[in-house]
Amino acid sequence: MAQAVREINLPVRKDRPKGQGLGVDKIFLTLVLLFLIVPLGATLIFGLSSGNSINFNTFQSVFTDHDFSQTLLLSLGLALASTILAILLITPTAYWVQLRLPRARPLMDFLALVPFAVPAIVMAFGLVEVYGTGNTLINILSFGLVPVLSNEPFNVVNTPQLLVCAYVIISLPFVYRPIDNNLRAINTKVLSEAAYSLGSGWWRTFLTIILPNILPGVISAALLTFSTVMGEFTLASLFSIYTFPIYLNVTGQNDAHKAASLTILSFFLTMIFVLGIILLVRIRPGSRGNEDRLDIVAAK
Amino acid sequence: MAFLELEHITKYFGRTAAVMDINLSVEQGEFLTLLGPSGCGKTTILRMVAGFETPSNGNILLDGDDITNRSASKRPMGMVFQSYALFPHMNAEQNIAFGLSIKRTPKDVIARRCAELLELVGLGDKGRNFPHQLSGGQQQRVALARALAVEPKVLLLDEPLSALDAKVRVSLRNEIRRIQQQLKMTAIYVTHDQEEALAISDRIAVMARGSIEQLDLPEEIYNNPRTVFAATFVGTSNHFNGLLESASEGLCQVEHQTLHVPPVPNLHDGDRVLVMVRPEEVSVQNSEEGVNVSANGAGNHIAGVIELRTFLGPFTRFHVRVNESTTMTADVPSQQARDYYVAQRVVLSFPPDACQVLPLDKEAVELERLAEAEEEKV
Amino acid sequence: MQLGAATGKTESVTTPGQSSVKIRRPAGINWSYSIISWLGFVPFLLFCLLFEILPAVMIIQNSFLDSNTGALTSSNYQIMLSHLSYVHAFQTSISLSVVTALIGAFFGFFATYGLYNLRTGWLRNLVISFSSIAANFAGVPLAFAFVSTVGVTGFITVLLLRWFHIDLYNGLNFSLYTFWGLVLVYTYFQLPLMILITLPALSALRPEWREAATNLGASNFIYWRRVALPILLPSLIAATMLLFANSFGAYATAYALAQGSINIVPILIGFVVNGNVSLDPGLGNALAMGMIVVLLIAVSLYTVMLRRVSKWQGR
Repeated sequence: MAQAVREINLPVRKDRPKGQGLGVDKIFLTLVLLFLIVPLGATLIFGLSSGNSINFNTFQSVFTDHDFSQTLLLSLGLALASTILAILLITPTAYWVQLRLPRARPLMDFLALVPFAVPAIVMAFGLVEVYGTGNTLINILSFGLVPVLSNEPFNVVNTPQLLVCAYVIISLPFVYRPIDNNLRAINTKVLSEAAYSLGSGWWRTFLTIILPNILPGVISAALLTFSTVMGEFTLASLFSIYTFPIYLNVTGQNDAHKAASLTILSFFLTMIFVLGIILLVRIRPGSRGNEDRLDIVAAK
Repeated sequence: MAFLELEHITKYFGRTAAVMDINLSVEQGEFLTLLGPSGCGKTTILRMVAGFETPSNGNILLDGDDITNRSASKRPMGMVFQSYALFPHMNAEQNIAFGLSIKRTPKDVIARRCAELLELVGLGDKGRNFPHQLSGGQQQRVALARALAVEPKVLLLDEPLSALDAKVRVSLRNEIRRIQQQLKMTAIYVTHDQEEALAISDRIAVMARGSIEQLDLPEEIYNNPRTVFAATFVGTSNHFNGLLESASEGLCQVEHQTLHVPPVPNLHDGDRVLVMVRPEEVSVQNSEEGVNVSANGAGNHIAGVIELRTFLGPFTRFHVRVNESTTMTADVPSQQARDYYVAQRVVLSFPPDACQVLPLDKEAVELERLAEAEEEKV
Repeated sequence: MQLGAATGKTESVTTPGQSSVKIRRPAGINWSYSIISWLGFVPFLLFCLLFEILPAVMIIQNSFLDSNTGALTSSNYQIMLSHLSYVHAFQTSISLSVVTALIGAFFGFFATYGLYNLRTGWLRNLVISFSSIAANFAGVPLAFAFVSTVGVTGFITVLLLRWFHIDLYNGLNFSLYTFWGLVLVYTYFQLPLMILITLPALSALRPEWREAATNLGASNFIYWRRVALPILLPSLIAATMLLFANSFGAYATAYALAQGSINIVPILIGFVVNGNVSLDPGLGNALAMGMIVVLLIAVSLYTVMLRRVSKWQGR
């Protein structure tokens, strides 16, 4: 499943213009909201009913299914690994670029846009080709790393390890964005220079001065990555790795009611993550008066 | 009947009165400034005149017409905003032409008028530039031209210079004044910068907490402030709280010293008062030399020690400590100030009629604090 | 500026032969500073290279190679562009994306405006939070949510039949498993996405613009036609592009819903990866390349529009 990043501002406006609506806007809003809520309600009822009666049987059968726990744990593990790797890789880099390498910023922006032009399905295809089949050009361009990784002892093709790395790339746009925004909001350059002038080195400054101040951004990024991976289907499916969304699909093809209850569970899981992010953004230090930037993922 | 009349204007926001029973008459061609700290209601009044807010009470009359309830787009006013508010997707010329194009003015007339106005504001060759390609001062000039294009009866300016650099502020305020006089346009100007107000206004309305403290010529407000707030908000001043010993003879007891002030027939002996003296009225003399006593013998002389010496170009400002809790400010032309240095013992002198005596009641004390808080913000 | 003209010797920092006043680091230190700066960037760059750039390069390269002989050829593209089913796949993908983008943009914009004007703060925040969740709720769960709703035995389907005697599938010939069914499902995440992107754009509409326009005599209609909409246009175009890209690259939802019976490009590529024998890998590369090209156009337009927005906002 490919992901896409959105930025939203939670507007906290001082003065609201009065009565200048176009009239129809409230109607549209209501219609849209109805459209969004009805399928959820229907799914809930559908999931609670097996045949003609309403009961919790489907939910029970879900929790007793062995595959359920196994795939859920695998997904959780993958999500955790991807999140940690993404944060560890991107946060120092974002700081480094902000501080020492502003010239690389266009490059960063470009790299963050590539996942839009190369969505998950295309990336899956490309990865299978790169690490599954040998190719001299690629071997050269990668400084010899690809052949190393493709063969013994690594043999990464179609492994969870490769999946994790792919997930990090997919999450790149919306890990980079909140952290970068946060870095800009706290005037990183000036803070760092103040720290250096007082004798603090690069790592110490990063860990004790910068990181605590960008924590909400980092945690937002982490939650986004985590929820993305939890719901990601495309890459896992094409790598033949049995994760939770795959389980959901398989179940759904066989038992529609069970799938419905799983869907509701998925929804609640998503809800928890997103609400977590929203809460975090509100308490971020240095956020400007009437702008709270929030990055949201859309999974397909 | 003046050109623009505000009668008993009151405005409530929720339960707070932002503006309370304001009465204002603006003559045609006059440049009136509403001057006061933030929250005093000056912008609210301007917005009510423009039509963006409706008064809770009272009437607004323009040239005899009651426009109190007329919508903003139908009022013949031109407004200049603090943030310029230029339409970003239109260049300077298109911005200026906007109001005219709504009125379906023929294209050639519009083109001619835009060219005229660009010349007027000194941006003749910048018509094709977009707002983001112009400096702050240039943007504000385009905004001014845009407001003038529709030939308004009144020009409204809401702190138009606050967002600009100091030098630009000075030159642009003179330009605004020049254009206003050239066009004989009635203008209402809102600002918290009292230097600005003094420099370009025909009349100033000093405002605090929703009411007008004093409405007068700039010179009058500066030299004869009639309330404590006006005295302390406008210009720098030395002020002392004291007790009026003798209203008829003009004697005032201030911190163990008696000051000679002009007779104040409208006050009583024993009243609490504020005595105000402008720094430029205070002269500095070395205390070793003999003190110069004025012709009729009754001058004010206070001894002190120079604490701080600030060179301000044409004159030098001395902060002189006269006792534990009081310092006085004296402005001396820099040529003369050369002889004085920090820690020197001096005598400060000022004549009685340089003093302004104002009654001090509880509200006045609060307003005095308000004015001082504004100063500290700088 | 004439330095030193009248006074002879001056304190000007210009020396003969040099016009710069800057203090420059000795050249050697400049170099090593630069190198170390780039060195710090290397781990990340390497990671992107291995997992982002090289797959794309591989696809580009392989699309020009014959999958059996390895020889340079344009036959993959020729086949792709001549076979009806592949052309059809692109057409379907593009029209699906265009339709859902336009529906999402149109309804989403007005819904956003309604949201923007909502006075009650807590309700607004609730809707925003809900939109965030809904935009995130896509892929497999979404497909099943719609199956549960308007599938053959879906809740609404049954409801309509039992209570209103409207037969969705047999009578009205509706099916969730067709193009329009997919449009319905995709719209579910496109709408909230539009809301989330457009809300900040609306907030960027400064109230002074409206006041200035009103002051100059503009009515509500004129304000919208000549000021607000033109200013919003780049943001709206960018949003539509994003919606398009979002829909075009979607795989999971379509797969979960139709199991590959719908002919769109992502599904085709999925076949190739899964080793479906009827599809040649070389062709798969060409298809992927086609996707990349289409998406690059959309993303470029998106970037250009956003740049215009920030230019106008003076950032």
